[in-house]
Amino acid sequence: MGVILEVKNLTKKFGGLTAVNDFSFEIKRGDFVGLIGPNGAGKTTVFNLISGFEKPSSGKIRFDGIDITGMRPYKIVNYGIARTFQLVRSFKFLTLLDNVIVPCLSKRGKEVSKKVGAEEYASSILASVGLVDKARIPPIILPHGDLRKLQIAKALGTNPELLLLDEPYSGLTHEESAVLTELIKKLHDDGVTIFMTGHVLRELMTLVPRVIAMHQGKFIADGPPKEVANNKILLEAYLGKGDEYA
Amino acid sequence: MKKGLVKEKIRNIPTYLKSWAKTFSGSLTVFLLIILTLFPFLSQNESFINYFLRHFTLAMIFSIFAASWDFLTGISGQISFGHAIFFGIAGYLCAYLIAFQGFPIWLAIPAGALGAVGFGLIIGIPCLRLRGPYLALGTLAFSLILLKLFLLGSLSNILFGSEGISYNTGPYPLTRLSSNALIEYFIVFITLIISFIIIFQIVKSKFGTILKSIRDDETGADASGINTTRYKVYAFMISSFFAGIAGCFYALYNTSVNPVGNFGTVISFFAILMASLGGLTTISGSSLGAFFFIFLEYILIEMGVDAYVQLIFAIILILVVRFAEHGILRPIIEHLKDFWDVLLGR
Amino acid sequence: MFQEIINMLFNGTLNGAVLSLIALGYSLVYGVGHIMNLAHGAYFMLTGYLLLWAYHFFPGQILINVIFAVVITTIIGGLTYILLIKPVKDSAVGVVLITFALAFALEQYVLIISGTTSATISGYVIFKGTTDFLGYSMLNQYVFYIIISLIIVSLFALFINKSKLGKSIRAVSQDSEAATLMGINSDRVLFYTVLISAFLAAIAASLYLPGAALNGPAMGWEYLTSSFAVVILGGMGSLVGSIVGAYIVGYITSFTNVFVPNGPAWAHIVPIIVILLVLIIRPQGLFGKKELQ
Repeated sequence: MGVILEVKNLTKKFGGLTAVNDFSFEIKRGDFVGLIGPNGAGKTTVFNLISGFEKPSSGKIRFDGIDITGMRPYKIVNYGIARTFQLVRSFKFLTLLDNVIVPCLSKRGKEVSKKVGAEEYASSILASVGLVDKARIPPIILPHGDLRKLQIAKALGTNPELLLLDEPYSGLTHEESAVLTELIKKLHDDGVTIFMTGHVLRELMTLVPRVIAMHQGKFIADGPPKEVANNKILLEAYLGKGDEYA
Repeated sequence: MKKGLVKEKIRNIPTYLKSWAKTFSGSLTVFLLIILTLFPFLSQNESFINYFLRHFTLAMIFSIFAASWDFLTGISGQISFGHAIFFGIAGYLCAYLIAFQGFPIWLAIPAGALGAVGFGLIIGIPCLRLRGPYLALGTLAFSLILLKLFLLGSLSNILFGSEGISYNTGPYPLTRLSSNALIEYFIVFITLIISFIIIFQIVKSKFGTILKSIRDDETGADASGINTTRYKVYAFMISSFFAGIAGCFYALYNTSVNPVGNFGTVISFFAILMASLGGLTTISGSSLGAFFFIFLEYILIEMGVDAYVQLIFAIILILVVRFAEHGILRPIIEHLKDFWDVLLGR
Repeated sequence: MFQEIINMLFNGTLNGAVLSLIALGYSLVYGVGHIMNLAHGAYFMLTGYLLLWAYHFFPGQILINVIFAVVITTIIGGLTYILLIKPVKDSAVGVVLITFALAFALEQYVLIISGTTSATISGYVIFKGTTDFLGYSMLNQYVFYIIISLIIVSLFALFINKSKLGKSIRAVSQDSEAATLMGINSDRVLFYTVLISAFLAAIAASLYLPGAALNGPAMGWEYLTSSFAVVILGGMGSLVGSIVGAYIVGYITSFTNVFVPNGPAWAHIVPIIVILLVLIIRPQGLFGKKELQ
């Protein structure tokens, strides 16, 4: 299995602030990777840079060998990367079904959905995340957990090879988190490469076999969770200098 | 495979129409259409009918215009405050072609509408970067500039200045829809029905769903792999086409065009006003809004307060936006619906 | 030749001085509340007409009339916020529609009373007469206005940086939620902001329009378009940008007026050209940033 995502020397400056600093890593096809770091470490910025919602100040991003640095978001989606957002967003005046139909109508989504028709296909995606009974309802009245599932359903509509999940557990109850974990595991088993950020470390560290850690925009560590969890710099970043917590 | 699907769809139309007519909005629409069709024949008094016919025709012209605005703003989420641009350009082009190039009407109207589409592109493309209030002001600024350009004395040899073009000479096939107000009425009526059916079908289709998704969350649509730029341009083109049709009819209705009457801010205001009354997201509401305001204007003029007409309209718009963001006609129709259900014992 | 250059420079400065006060308020409201008040140009226009009407009834009471006009316009600004903007604040379309309707209503109201013919309010000129400078004669009122506008801008800069309300304004413009958590009433701050913006526009009108003319109630739209051009050029939300943008647009307009054949007609087009160019070349404007600076 080859490298699916290659990020080299990725840097993003906002005026005087360097949000991402010379960040490099690789993800192989079929991997299941977490991205961790304290608040403000730059995780969402990295996602925004990969998915095209921000342009890097310097550095390169390659997906499946194709240089996607600075490409427009919809083009990147049509190459096979889909993402969810930290702050839940939806097409608020459309039904859930229509919400998922839209990505199925993207260039990439159409390749798959046209075989059975966009509605059928979107229905089956909603079924796979457990939302099909709410297909005719608009998102406004749904609980938070369902909205997170909807985001994943929408991402799936574009038939992605790489799925970027930005803080998917944020704001979920215990039960909702468990359901989400099952869903993510299943997606991974189906062959989707998963790259997710997390702030609630407990779930993340037991879920993923590999974790990349960052702090203040810089790369800190990359490896199995147990190893990374013992990384001194990371511990300091999360907990502050050791003495106070002795 | 595709051909068979289309044939099947066409064969399904009668059943589809029957079930649609049974729904509340369907039967209401059919009812209104029947009234509009029979109305001209209701009275023996020719001049009385003709007088009102012209008002109905005007209301139908503005229905198309308001619907075109609603398509762009309420369905596609692109706020346009300069819709007069498309209306005016089409009217001017149509008038020019008829008065100076000897075009027959059936050629001048599409030409005018296509001219409006051309402007839809010219305006649409720089405006693609603008969202929300920026877009509103950008389109407003464009329409003001166009108004000024047409009023410029120095350009009046190309653009006809503040006098505009007037052409009430010549027999009817050349200069107006008809010498007969009745035929004019039906030509506009049929165009109205066809336009609304087309717009409706577009809105209901998957294409329409994509436009609505751009309206609801443009970033999300982008993240769903949709080329939002392309669809926004399409929305501008479709909207400007129908605005252009209305603009051509208006020019023919008046047999003249002039800068203030065809490009004025008040025209853009009317589109917004009429569509908002009926509810921003309902296309049919635009038509009800158009009829409401055309007839309100008539009543106010009859009452002798014509100077106050637009002030009153502006206040109504303020009230509608303030208190009834989904238009006031919706709630009224909802109440009617409940009444209807009670009548039918449901 | 020389005279024309002085003409251009003087009028450019004058234009800049007028636009800076108008655009400043407009940009302020956007920076704080992310709201575009489309009635902003109408406030300017309305003040001029209030002065005209007051003059008809009380020709002698210049100062009182000015106070009256400025106060009325400022109150209307405040009412715009409380009655119209605040209830529909969550809907971007709603705010734009309702302020547009208000601008339209104000235009119609003035139209009904005064019609479209030009009028002058020269009775309000404080510094009468002209001064000759190298062959070009400048209206003293205009010189006075330029000086006053610079003073007002400086005072405003002081206000925004040092005063309590000014600091609250900056806080809300940066992060409305955080400001609320710090105990600042964002709603109240936005109200004051709209009030101030209307006030600035009214002051500008009272001091500038006496030397110019009232060209019909539709003039409000022109000032709105110019404000928009200035603010887009300067960068939405940047107060410094609004001032700089105002003078740039002012000079381009006066240059067009003086040196381009058929200038005065084309001068009207300048704002839209500016808007177009900025959008194509650098959409965030010169100083475009999210917070106020």
